[in-house]
This record gives sequence, structure tokens and C-alpha cells, in this order.
Amino acid sequence: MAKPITTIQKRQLTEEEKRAEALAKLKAAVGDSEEAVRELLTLIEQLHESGLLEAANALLKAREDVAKIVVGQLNQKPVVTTMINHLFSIAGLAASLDPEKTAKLLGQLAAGVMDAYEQTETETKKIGLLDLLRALNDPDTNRAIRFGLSALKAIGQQLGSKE
Amino acid sequence: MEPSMVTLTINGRTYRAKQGMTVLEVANEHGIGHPQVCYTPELGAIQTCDTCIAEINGRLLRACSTPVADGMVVELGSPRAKAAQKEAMDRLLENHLLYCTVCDNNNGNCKLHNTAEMMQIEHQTYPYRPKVDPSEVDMSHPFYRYDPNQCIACGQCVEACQNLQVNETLSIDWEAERPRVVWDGGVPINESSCVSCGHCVTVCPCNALMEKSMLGEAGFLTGLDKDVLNPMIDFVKEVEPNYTSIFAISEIEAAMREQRIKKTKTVCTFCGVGCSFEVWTKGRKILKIQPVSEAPVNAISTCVKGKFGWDFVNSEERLTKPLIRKGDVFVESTWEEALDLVAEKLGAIKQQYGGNAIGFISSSKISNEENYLMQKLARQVFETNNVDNCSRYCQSPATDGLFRTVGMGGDSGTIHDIASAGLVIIIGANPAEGHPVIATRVKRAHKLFGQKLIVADLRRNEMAERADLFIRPKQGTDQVWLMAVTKYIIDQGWHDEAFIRERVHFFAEFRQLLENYTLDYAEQVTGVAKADLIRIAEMIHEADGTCVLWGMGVTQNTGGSDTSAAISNLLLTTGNYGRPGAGAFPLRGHNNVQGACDMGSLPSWLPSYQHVTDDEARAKFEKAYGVRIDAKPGLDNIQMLEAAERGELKAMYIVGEDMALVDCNASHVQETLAKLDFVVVQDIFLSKTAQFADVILPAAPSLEKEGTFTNTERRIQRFYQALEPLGDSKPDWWIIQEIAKRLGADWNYAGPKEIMDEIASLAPLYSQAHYDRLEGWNSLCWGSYDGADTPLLYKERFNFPDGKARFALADWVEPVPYPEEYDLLVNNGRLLEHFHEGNLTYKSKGIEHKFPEVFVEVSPELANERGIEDGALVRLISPYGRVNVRVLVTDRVRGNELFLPMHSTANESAINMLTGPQTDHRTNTPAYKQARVRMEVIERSGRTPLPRTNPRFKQRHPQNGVEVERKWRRRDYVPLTEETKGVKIGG
Repeated sequence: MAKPITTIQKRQLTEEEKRAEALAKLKAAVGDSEEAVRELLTLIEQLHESGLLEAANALLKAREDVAKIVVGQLNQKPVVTTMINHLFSIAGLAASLDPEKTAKLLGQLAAGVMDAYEQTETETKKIGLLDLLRALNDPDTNRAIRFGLSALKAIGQQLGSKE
Repeated sequence: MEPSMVTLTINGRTYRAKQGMTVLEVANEHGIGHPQVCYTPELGAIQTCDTCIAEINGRLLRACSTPVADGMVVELGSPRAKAAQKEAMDRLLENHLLYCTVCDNNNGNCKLHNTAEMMQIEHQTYPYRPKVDPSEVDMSHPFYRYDPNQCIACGQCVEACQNLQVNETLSIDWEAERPRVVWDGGVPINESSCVSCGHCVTVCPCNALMEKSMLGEAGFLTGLDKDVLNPMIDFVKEVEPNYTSIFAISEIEAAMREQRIKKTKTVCTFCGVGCSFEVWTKGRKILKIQPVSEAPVNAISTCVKGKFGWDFVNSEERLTKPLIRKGDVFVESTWEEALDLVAEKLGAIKQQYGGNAIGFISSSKISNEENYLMQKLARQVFETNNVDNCSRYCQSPATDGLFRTVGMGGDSGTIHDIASAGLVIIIGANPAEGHPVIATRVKRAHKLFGQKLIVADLRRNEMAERADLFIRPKQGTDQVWLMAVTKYIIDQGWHDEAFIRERVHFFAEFRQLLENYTLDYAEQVTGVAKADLIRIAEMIHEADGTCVLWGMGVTQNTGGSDTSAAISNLLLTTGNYGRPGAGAFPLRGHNNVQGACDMGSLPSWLPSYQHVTDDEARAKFEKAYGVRIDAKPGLDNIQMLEAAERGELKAMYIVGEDMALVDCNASHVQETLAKLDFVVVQDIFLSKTAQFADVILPAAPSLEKEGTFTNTERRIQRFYQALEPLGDSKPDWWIIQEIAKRLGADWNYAGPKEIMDEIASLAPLYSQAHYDRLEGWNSLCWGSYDGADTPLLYKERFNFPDGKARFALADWVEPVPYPEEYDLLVNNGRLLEHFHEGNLTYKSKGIEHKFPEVFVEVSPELANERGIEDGALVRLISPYGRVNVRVLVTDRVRGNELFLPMHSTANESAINMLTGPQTDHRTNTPAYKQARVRMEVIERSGRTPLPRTNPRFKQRHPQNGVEVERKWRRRDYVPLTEETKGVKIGG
């Protein structure tokens, strides 16, 4: 006659048995990835020697407090959010330029500046109005002026459209 | 008939599309990215968000609601269209803070986030304005929360609640200054008529509606304390103006989540509908159930159990070690000890008494592969046909009725046929609670598409409330009105003569049999008015396709099989087989009732319905199994217990079945179990049955293993392993195999895939059901002997050698007579929140909160007569036993009819302490529904057993979907489209 049973007698592992079981699992895991574990130990040693481990520990232990302070600081100072927004804007501007063209332009600019510097070294004569007009005829100078005027026009358009 | 095709141009390219499609559907079909925040295919075009506006033939129109036309020119991204989309999006974002990185909904599938990103929204034109004080975030409901301050008022949740689930609780207060979602017109969610189906949460395109199980769990930063999280949200908000950068960061975080959150396809185990969905887990934690459109049965639909009822998997009470009876306690053991003991004891009993001295009970909850192994264990290792499963308790009569008439024991079509039928007749079933997702399809078709609905039931359930015609025949008399209606149809000449002539035998004999079943006779026996019977006949006659859905209210009667056959007869008479939108649908109650039977866990059937008396079939299995198989059917559940009582059956091996509670006359069953020499129970909990075991083997539920289930539509679907088995529990297939091996069987299945390959080789209906064919969301409906997918049965032929159906010829069977003192009928069944006796679902805190204990429903008339009220304590006494339960007074039941749900895990309140030993005369299925009792009052009043927060106490708020016209009528609504006149409502 089998009576219904509702009690389960759990096999209670002693603390020692539990520890032994956990250790056995750990041993097996270490054995499976011996090399990685060695590397990890070296890394830990270096972190310890440098004092970084201690700092990280402290930081982690205080993480909630630290997070509160950091986020609080960020919010208190509009300059931070403004700065981050600026960073995003600058990053955006940089991203919108064609890197090939920028490189070419920068190269040309550098060459032009060097050339101009040499000119001022050798040529000492004062430039007159006629010299200026004559210079407009020089194809190189003319090109540079056209670039300047075009750039000014583009910036002006952008300024206008923003309104 | 193929719909005609049109040619149109989208973004300068030419496309062909079916007439009747919308512009958005065509764009989506071809993978053309286009904003559509408020569009979900299952809901159709609700037109609330305006983000899908396109330039169509030069005019700005919503792509979601504009049907394609020949020669149409569509520009999805013209400057004018883009400007309109941007304005629409800005209007949405005024309601929503994009703090994505610290949002629990940032999982790569946030529709609002993804749309803002696709549209390259850079900043917010209209600054975000909260709608309410943050304290008004509604956290009242146990399973989900609503945050009005994140809600974009797109109304998909409302549309889903009103027109897909059709529970009609949610609405949008369009006339409010800031429209938001409200429950029952404006009460806390937990105080509303919400049935926790989860549709609203699933369709929410952002984080306004979230599963509580996700909150603080899904993200890397979302679990932070409020005093860190809130400033962080503020910070993110400050930085926000440049959205694209924030999106980049949140995307990185979402990608990190992908690494941590596991998404696994699974198939639901809470009823026979066969819903499939993803389960999201983090470690052992179940984060949420995520339905997907690809799911073949349910798409995005779920019910409370499937969406929220999985806590049992991580329950503290799970069995995690094998247990062996020693004296008055169960002692934990190793698998070696337990399995050796089982093999030794069962082996010895077989040696001494033969295999027929052992009974095997398989389960309608475990997989096909596991059911197959159970019957193989019985037939090969123990050489007995004594194997059965719990479909004996519910579905065998339906199967029998179909076998006799049309030849296959399964639904004749799919959920899509039910949805598209002209008329649905529900007899003795309550799909709104027992098969909720199938019910949604009926409710939606009825509300939106003119489908007609007839309900025949004792109890005025939700479907009855919605029905065009509701009849209440006396218990056990359904066959009489069914036959009378059939006779009337034939008398009127409304039967399908050509169909009968070409496809059905025995019409003359059938007509003869019907002679006695006049309307007068039916009215007298059933209590249903003649006029109603005529109306039923007319409705069937007028309908374009009739589907009959039936359940235990039919099958659990002394005439359950014959009534099932009478349903099939009616369908044959009217030609409602072998065509879409028609047919027979015995609603299977458990996830794998169908599969357990398909696999031959039955005393008289080998896998794939090959009968044990069929020499050829037996020879095939004898060859495969290397043993002789008895040509005599084995014992069914009921007969096993009878044999045990006679001392002929010595041992039982019971898998996943709480037969000590769910079999009729439960106290007698418990006595019998106690008499057996040796009982092995395999389960995930210490069920009532397990308490009688000598050895308990801890099994793993579906989330912890793989396999396939076959749903009520005969659809075979794979489920995948989401979690490791808890503790030392093991998948059932592994356990069965270990026992077989110890008894010398040469079994070596590495996993369910290999078991299925063997099934496919022996079971013709499953011959194509290999795992690669069923990968992911793929599925297969069996129904052809070459194993091909056959969603609709009997298109060409019925399943008999000559291809013709047969009218079943049987008179009705009278219900069990009881002595007069048992003056109350105690109807019984299932309610929405719980599954079966409740071993699983009472483990869910949220469900327990809504439905903590079982109760008995008493009619107001009877309560009045006996002087009792809500909360009274009564004793119900039948000739077989007694229970004590608290009373719920409700007009869902009438007169002397009670309703006692089966959701009890205790003898003190279990319905089957009352039910008697009478059974269906053909299949031995207990006549549970014919139990009668007398009632003694213990306390006249008391604490009400059902909390007032249960939706049954609330009033629904039906309306016509989201009602976007009310939004358009707002003074501050500036239209973005250029409709000329009269805005077309899509759908």
C-alpha cells in the first residue's frame, strides 16, 4: 500500500562536499584553458604591481557613488553638454569634407606658403597698384583669388540659409 | 481565381502588383525602405501617424491606405513627400524622449528608433513636452506598464485590443488636450477589463508599453538606480539635439545586448492552438515572449499564459533530482541509482508476469519524439500494447467520430479556414478561454467581416455573449438538436445533393435514421425552441462555408463519440468538407494531444494511425523493432486502472500526467495507484500523482530541450532549447532511452532529430517531417500518405479505400441518470488564466494575483433560493466524493447548473473528486460533464474567491478600432495629405 508522500528529503551536501565539488569543476576548467589562465595571471600581476588593480577595485566598490557624482557634475555644468555638442558638430563638419580634396588643398596651401615665404626673402621691392593689377593677369594668382571669392560666397550662402 | 495584376511606377522603377494591394504593401514586398510607424500587417492601415505619406500621381497620400492602380506613379522620397514625412515624425517625437541608450526597448527592434534613424532625423522641431506628471506612469498591472510620457499615440495597441484580440478595453482619448491611451475609459490598468493577452505590448512601436520583466533587465545601463538613471536620461536629453550621433551610440549598445540576450524560437505548451514565438532569455531569466509575424498559426497573437505564464520554469518547486520512496519520505538519489532501480523493478515484473502487467501513460505535453519513444518502449522493450495518453480524457470521442465519417482524426483545415468561414458554430467549447488565439480570429471576423456565430453551451461564456444565436441545450443532448437540424435541412432540400451523391455513402440509411428526430422531438429533449433550430438550419444554408468547433462539452459525455459523428454528418450533408472556410475542428486541449496520438501512444494504434490489427503495418514495425507485436489492442487509461484493481496490472510508468487529479472519480484512482506494486512518475513537479510513486524522475519542460509538437491543425512545429535543464533534470527522451538501454535495447539516439528520422521512416503521415524541412518558422500540416504538407483535408478524397465518406448511423445516448437527491448539475472546464489542474500556472505570481484559487459559479436564482452570496463556503457532494469551495454568484450559469473549473491541485477542491465512472460508450472517455451533486451550505457569506481586479467583474468598452477620424476632426490637426474629399479608411 503506497501512501502519498509530500516530503522530500534533500541530500544536504556538507560545506566540505560543496567546496570539493566546486574545486573539481574549477580544476577541470583550468585544465581546459591552461595557457589562457597563465596569461591572465601575468596580466593580474602587472596590474597589481602598477597599482592599477587597487585603483580599479576602489572605483568598482564605489561605482554607484561615483556614477552619481559624475552624472551630477555633467548635468550641473551646461558647459559640458555644450562641449559635447560642439564635439559632435566639429566631428560632423570634419566628416562632411571630402578627404581627398582637403588633402590636395592643404598640400597646395603649404606649397603656396613656402613659395610666398621665399619670395618675401628675395624680393624687397615695394608692390604698387599697377603691380597688383598686373598680378591679376598672372594665372596662378588669379586662381587663388577665385578660390577665395568662391569660398566667401559659399559661406555667405550657408549663413543666409541658416536664418 | 488569381487576382488581376497592375503595373505602377515607384521611384522611377516599374513594378507589377496584385490588384487590391496598397502602395505600402508593394513597397514592403520589394524591400523598399519607407517610414511606417503605425503600420503592422496584422492590423492593416490605421492611418494615425502620417509618416508613410508619398507623392502619388502628384498628390500627397498615405501609402498605407492607397490601393495600387494601373499606371500609378509613386514618389516615395520626393521633396514634398519627404517634408510631409518629416513633419509627421516631428509631431510624433513631440511626445517621446529618445533616451535610447538607457531605454529597455533599445534592442534593435524599436520601430520608432529605427524610423527616426532611417529618416535621418537630426533634431526635434517641436520640443518634447511630457503629457502627465511622472507619477502617472501606470505600474498597476502585474505584467506590463504604460508610460504616457513616452506614448506617441499611434493607437496600434488600441487597434490590436479592439479589432485583433477583440477584448475591447483600450481606446485613445482623441478629444483630450494631449491624446493618450486609456483603459476602460480611464481606470488603472489593473482595474480594467484587460485579459493580459499582451497584444498591446507586442505592437507598441516604442517603450510606452513594456513587459515588466524587461524593465531594468534588458539594457546594460537600464538597471541603474533611479537617482543615477534619471540624471543620466536628462544628460542624454541635453546632448540629444544631434540624434544621429546618439543613434550610433545606442546602436552599439543594442549590438552589445545581442550578445547577452538569447532569442529562441519555441512553441507554446498551454493549449492546442500551437502558437510559436521567440523567448528572450538572459542567463536563466526569462525576459519576455516576443511574438513575430512569421509564426504560422498566431503571428503576433498570444494569450496571458503564452505571453506571461512561464514562471514555472524557474520555480523553486521544480524537481531537480531523482527521488526514491524510502519509508515515509522521498530521498534524493543519483540518476544511476534511480534508473537502475526502475529497470530492475520493471524488468522483474515483466519477467514474472509478462509485459502486459505494466501500463504506460504517455503525455500530451511532451514532444512527438518522446511520445514515439514511450510507445516504442512499451511495444519493443516490454512487448505490450498497454500504452495510452491523456487524450483519452478529452479528445478520443472526437477522433472516433471523424474516423467513422471522414477517415482522419484531426481538424479538417487550419485557423485560416476558421477565420474565413461564413458561419462558425461552437458547441460545448469556450475558445475565448480555452483556445484564446483561435477565438481572436472568430471575434475579429465576426466584428469586422460579417462572419456569423452560433454558440451552443450550458454556460453564457464570452463567445455566447458575442454570438448571433446562443442556445442552451440540456447537458448531453447536443446530438438530438444536431440531428434535428440536419433532418430539417434535408427536408427543406438545402442539403448538397451532388456532394452527397459523389462523395458520401449511406445517405438513404441516414435519412431513415433521422426520421425520429423532428423539431418537436428535439425541442422536447433539448429544451431549445423550434424557432432557434430553424434559424440554425437557415444560417447554415445561407453561409458561405460553415466551420464547427467543438470541445469537451461534447466529448465528455456518454454519447461523446456519436455526437462528434453527428457534427461530421451535418457537415457532410451540407458539403462543408474539402473546401476553404469550412470543416470540422475538434479543438485539441493540450499542446501535443494531436502528436501524442499521431505517434501511436494509443493501445490500438501504431504511429501514423496504423492499426495493430493490420498485419502489414504490424509486420513493418515488427521488422523495425525486432520483436513480435500483439495484434490485440492493449489497455487504455481507464482499463489499466481497472486491471490494477483486479491485481492484473502490477506497475505503471506515468509521464507528465496528473491522473490522480484529472481522471474521473479521483479518490478511487488514488486508491488504485496506491495498490500498485511499482509506480514510476516522470514530471517537473511533485504532482498529486507523483506523491504515489516509488521513483520520481525529474523531467525538463519544453524551454529546456528540443523537439516537435503537433497542434490542433495537425501542424508539426519545431521548438528549440532556450535554457539548460534545471539542476539534474533531464529531457524526457533521454530518460526513456536510459531505461530502454538498461533493459537491453539497442537505442542510441543522439537527440530528437534522429528520433524524428526514425519516425519519418515508419509513419507515412510524417515521412517528410525531417528537421531541416521544419527549420525556424517553417511548419508542415500532415494529411497525405506521401507526407506532403496538407493544410486542407479531403479536397479530392476522404480517407477510405474508395475515397468516399460515410454517414455514421447512431442514435443518441441518454445521459447518466442520478438519484433525485443530486439536484445540481456540476459543469466543469477550463478558464483563461490557468492550464489544466494548475501545476504550472499557479507558479506565476501575476496569474495568481488575478486568479488565486478555484471557486464554484452559482446562478443568482440558486444563490437566492439557498440564501447564499459571493464568498459563501459550500460543500458539494456526489455519490463519489465531496469538495469544499467558495461561491462566485454569476449569471454566466443559470438555474440548477453549477460550474466548477478544474484548476485545483488539492483534493479538497478538485472537480474529479465528484465525477463518476461513467464513460463514452465507444471510447471510454469519462463523462465528466454529466456529474451531479447536492449542495450543503457551510458559510452563507465570506471573502470573495476571485479578486475584484479580475477582468470578469469589468465592463468592456467596444469601439470601432482606433477611430482615427476623431483625430482628424481635432481643431489643431493640420492635414498633411491632399485627399480631395472623404478620406478613405483602409483596412
